[in-house]
Amino acid sequence: MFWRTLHSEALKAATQPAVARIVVAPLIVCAALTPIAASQVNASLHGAPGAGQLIPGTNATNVGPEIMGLWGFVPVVVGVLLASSEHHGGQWTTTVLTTPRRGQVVAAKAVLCAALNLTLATIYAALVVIDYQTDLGPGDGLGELSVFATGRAPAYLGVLAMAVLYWVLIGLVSLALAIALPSPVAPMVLMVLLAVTADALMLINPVFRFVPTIAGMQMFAPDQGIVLPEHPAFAPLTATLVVAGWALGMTVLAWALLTRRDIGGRRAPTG
Amino acid sequence: MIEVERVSKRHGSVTSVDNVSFVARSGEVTGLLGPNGAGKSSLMRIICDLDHADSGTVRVAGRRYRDHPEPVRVIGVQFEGSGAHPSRRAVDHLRWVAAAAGIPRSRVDEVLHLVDLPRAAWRRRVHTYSLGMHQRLGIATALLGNPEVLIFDEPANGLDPVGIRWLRGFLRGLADEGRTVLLSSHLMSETELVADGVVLMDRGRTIAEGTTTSLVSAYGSLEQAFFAHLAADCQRGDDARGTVR
Repeated sequence: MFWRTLHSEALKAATQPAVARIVVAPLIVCAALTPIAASQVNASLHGAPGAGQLIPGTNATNVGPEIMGLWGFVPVVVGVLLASSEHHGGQWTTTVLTTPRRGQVVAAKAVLCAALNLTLATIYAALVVIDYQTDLGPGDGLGELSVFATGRAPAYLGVLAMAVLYWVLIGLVSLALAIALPSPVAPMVLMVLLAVTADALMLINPVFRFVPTIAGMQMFAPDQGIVLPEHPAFAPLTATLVVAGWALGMTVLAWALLTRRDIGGRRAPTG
Repeated sequence: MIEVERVSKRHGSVTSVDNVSFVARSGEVTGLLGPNGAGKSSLMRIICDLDHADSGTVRVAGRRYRDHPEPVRVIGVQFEGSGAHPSRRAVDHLRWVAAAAGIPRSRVDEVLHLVDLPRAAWRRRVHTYSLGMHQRLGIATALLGNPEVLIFDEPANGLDPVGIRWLRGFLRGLADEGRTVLLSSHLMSETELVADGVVLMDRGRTIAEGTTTSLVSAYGSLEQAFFAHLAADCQRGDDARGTVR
């Protein structure tokens, strides 16, 4: 029965133009913009004083993955869209009538969301490798910089894998939020606000480093964002556990809320 | 058969459904009648497990809706017009419902023919549909699993006179095949033409229940019966209920 629900959710996603657009459009934009960003970073690396050092802590092994954080709105939009589309045209009603076991619907959406974001993130990670590392030839007196020439490829691919995992997890958090909040707009606004105000939030209170969009960046781009001396950045594994905890917790919350919610209960009775 | 027993539901401070009981039998069209706000849609949502009742029990074809392993094959439901995402095509909407219920794709074309939705509209996005076309798509969705029980919420809304006549014959045909048909409506004269039995509701309560024939012969029309029972109900106070069989 779960496979049927998953199949139906996949059909829903495939036949909804907005989902198709959000899957294809960012890939095209990313494919177009990433080479530009890469060439700028690579030019800076070649021109920087010292052996491949752009700024302290930044070298050829960690250029590229951080841009996956910048494009991190893609999994957020995918997650929100997979759930919030249910709020249009009374589709939640049809979904719950078709699959009254609402937990099964949440699980199917989560699997689909994870699969979609995994695919998108993997494609994008490949773009990052191609654009950032293949362009890093010998610089002006700097020698070979590319991780493939310096034997750092496994470490680099490991960081990229964490970025891919971040996309999957942040997509699940967004999906769960969009199921939990019976509104198509609120979850998107909340996630974007969290991402945009991340640094400011950290300055207000260090507890905000546990926010998934902030902790998530520590999974693969520890140089990014504000790091408070008294509250050092999470280690990648710790950051992964924090974001995974959010994904799991939010999914359980979404399941609990959807199971107890009256699907028609938000509107005043009409008849 | 649909069995509703002492069902109550509150939305905040408003009692939407107040201790309602009735039975909709196989081979009959049962009309749930009342003005807007009477609690008809709320009750239908409880019957389908979309809303949770505060008290009471509902059984559809012998079980709670959610206890049916494949509910779409037993109970067909139409709410809110089509229940389809506005940007999706009609065929795509029906295909995902069919996929969820393990129903063959070929059934999609069959039900679209059954509800007389023009073939040219099958591949159009639902947001381009008229209200009447939404209703037909909603009815097609309900019929997808060839169910023995059918529940329609205000199915005549948005249909033109030709569509209403078609719907009348269609509902009658479904009941004549032995299916249980429950429909809600505020159109009393229309329901009088198709329903075998009716449950009259007002402010969440049943104010009268009986066969259409008995109510019409006693009061002249369902509308007259409704207002007579409404007046009597007001006089008797909140606890009064009328039953004519």
